[in-house]
Amino acid sequence: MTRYRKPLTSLVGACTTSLVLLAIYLFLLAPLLVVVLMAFNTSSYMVFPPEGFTLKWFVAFFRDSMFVEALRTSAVLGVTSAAVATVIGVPAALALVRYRFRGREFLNSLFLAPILFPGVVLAIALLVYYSRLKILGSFIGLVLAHVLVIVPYVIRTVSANLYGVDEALEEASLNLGAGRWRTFFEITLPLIRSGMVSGAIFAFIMSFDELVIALFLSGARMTTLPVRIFNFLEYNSDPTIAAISTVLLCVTLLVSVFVPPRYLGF
Amino acid sequence: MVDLELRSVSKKYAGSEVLAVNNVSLEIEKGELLCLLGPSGCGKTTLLRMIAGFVEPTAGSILVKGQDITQLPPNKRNLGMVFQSYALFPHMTVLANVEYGLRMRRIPRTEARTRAREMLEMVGLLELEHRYPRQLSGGQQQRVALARAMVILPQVLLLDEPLSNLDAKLRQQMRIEIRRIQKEVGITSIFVTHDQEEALTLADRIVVMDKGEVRQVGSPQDVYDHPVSRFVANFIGTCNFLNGVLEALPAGSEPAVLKTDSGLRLWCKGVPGLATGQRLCVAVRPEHLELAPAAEAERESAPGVNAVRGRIEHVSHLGSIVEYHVVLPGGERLRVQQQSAQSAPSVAEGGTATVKWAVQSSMCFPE
Ligand SMILES: Nc1ncnc2c1ncn2[C@@H]1O[C@H](COP(=O)(O)OP(=O)(O)OP(=O)(O)O)[C@@H](O)[C@H]1O
Ligand SMILES: [Mg+2]
Repeated sequence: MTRYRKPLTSLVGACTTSLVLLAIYLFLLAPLLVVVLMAFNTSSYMVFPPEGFTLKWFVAFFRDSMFVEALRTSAVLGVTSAAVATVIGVPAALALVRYRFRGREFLNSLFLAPILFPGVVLAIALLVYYSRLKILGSFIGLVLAHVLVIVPYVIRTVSANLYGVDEALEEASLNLGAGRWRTFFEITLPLIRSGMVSGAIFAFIMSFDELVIALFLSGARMTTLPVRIFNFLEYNSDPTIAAISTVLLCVTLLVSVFVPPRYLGF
Repeated sequence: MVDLELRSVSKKYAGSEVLAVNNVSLEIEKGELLCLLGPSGCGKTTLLRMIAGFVEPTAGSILVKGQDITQLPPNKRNLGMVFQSYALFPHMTVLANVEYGLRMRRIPRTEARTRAREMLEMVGLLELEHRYPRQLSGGQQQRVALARAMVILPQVLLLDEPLSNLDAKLRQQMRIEIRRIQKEVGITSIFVTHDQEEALTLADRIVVMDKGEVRQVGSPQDVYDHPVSRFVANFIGTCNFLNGVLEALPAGSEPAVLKTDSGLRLWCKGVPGLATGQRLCVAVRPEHLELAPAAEAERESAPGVNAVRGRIEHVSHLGSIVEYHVVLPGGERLRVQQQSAQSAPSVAEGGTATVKWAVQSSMCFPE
């Protein structure tokens, strides 16, 4: 008897779990679905259910030079910030994980501080600082600010990866005659590539949709997409915004489809 | 010819008060296989890593073929190392792993490939050259690690407990294999282990270490038959120990007399410079003890042969030998080993018997 009861209860348990998970996913994903549907809606207001099919909101988005310019700015900003953050983050992670030195703990918490800092506070601080330095509203200013926020995430993902790489591998490489740099490029780098790529993608996405800091630091000539959307929403409510959201959604999905899962650390 | 020389090498790690390695001096001959043997934490790995260049000595110098390499970085030392975890590069095939060291030495591609293949053939893994390390068994990974370290023709091969991750059967097999390859290539090697059996079967010479210091250096037979201290006697092979004070010095044909703490009087070997009343420890190997029927006790206790009566507490059959645990009246326990074929039927568990041993076969250490 008992033999049969156990699988049965576990089956019921598994079904319940699946149903609950499904419900949670639906709850989270339903708004996204509604937004996508509204992007193709003929009505000039964000109404649901849709009244007819059209692509005019997408056309409106790509015709609006301010949106296109903002999209370009955000893309370039995201790629630049992610690249800079990776170039800084990998050696930092290497130093924090592999070397014992005085002040290591302090440096470790210093690198993580931006994660704990409220974005608004950081934004205000940078605003004051940048206006002194006269780089307010400049591209370089935005890159620096974003790098500050995303570098901890790169360090985190790369460190997690580095802890999993046996130090003896690097020693073996040294022992076989490779110098420190050669060892880094031949052994360490290939083995932390997945952490590095996922860190960089994460960094790109975070920079790409960062609003608060960009709102404070971008100027009239340097507007990112999230800031542009935010400003647009103040005065308009037509489904152009839904079309933009759909485009962003597609970009994100494409990134996750074209980057093999192993690079994302799954 | 001396291939590797250590001169008064010491290491004290930052933040530690004790010396992990204390004033070690050694000379290793060309083609010799030297085993560093000692209990956990005695400094074997530290010593090996100092030779490899991963740990900087606090004092002393390391010479390879007479050239001081103490200040050289690891990649300039040309010493091969086999790691306990093998440390095979997971993103490279077996062949690429073996070729790595040759590639770093800028050896032409075709030559590197030929040499790597030859080495893989020697360890019997040529047919697996395109596999990745994760697709190999522990023993196979071990061979790749060995091939990778030897293909660069290092001046000395360093092995840190290379067999400790293998099961007992494979370990014995790999021991023989390593010894065969080492002899075939004639490569000077240092083999770290805490397994005395491994050291006894593999080594040309054994270095016994304890608490960072070298306690004895000698051939396996030498350290087994003539240990210089109670520590070495205990660490290599098994030993019975009896503590007591010296009651009489050797006189004429009669050996010295030891009175054990439980009051037993035993003949023992004299050690130069002893005085009566001094504390001593007598050590006898289980295979040097002999069991006889109980009746023989007093009659046989002539000068030169000890005979004490005891109760047989336990008998274990270990295949070719039988081991008896004998309790003496004073409470001391002795382990006696005899060939299974020779074991007397009259000595059974629970009965009494006489344990005999010749004075020459015992060892005597002042405390
Ligand atoms: N990096 C280190 N920092 C500080 N102390 C260390 C370090 N490495 C080893 N020690 C200490 O040095 C001593 C010797 O260590 P070592 O690893 O050389 O021993 P071992 O003989 O190889 O032992 P085992 O058989 O367990 O591998 C130990 O007391 C150890 O705690
Ligand atoms: Mg060790």
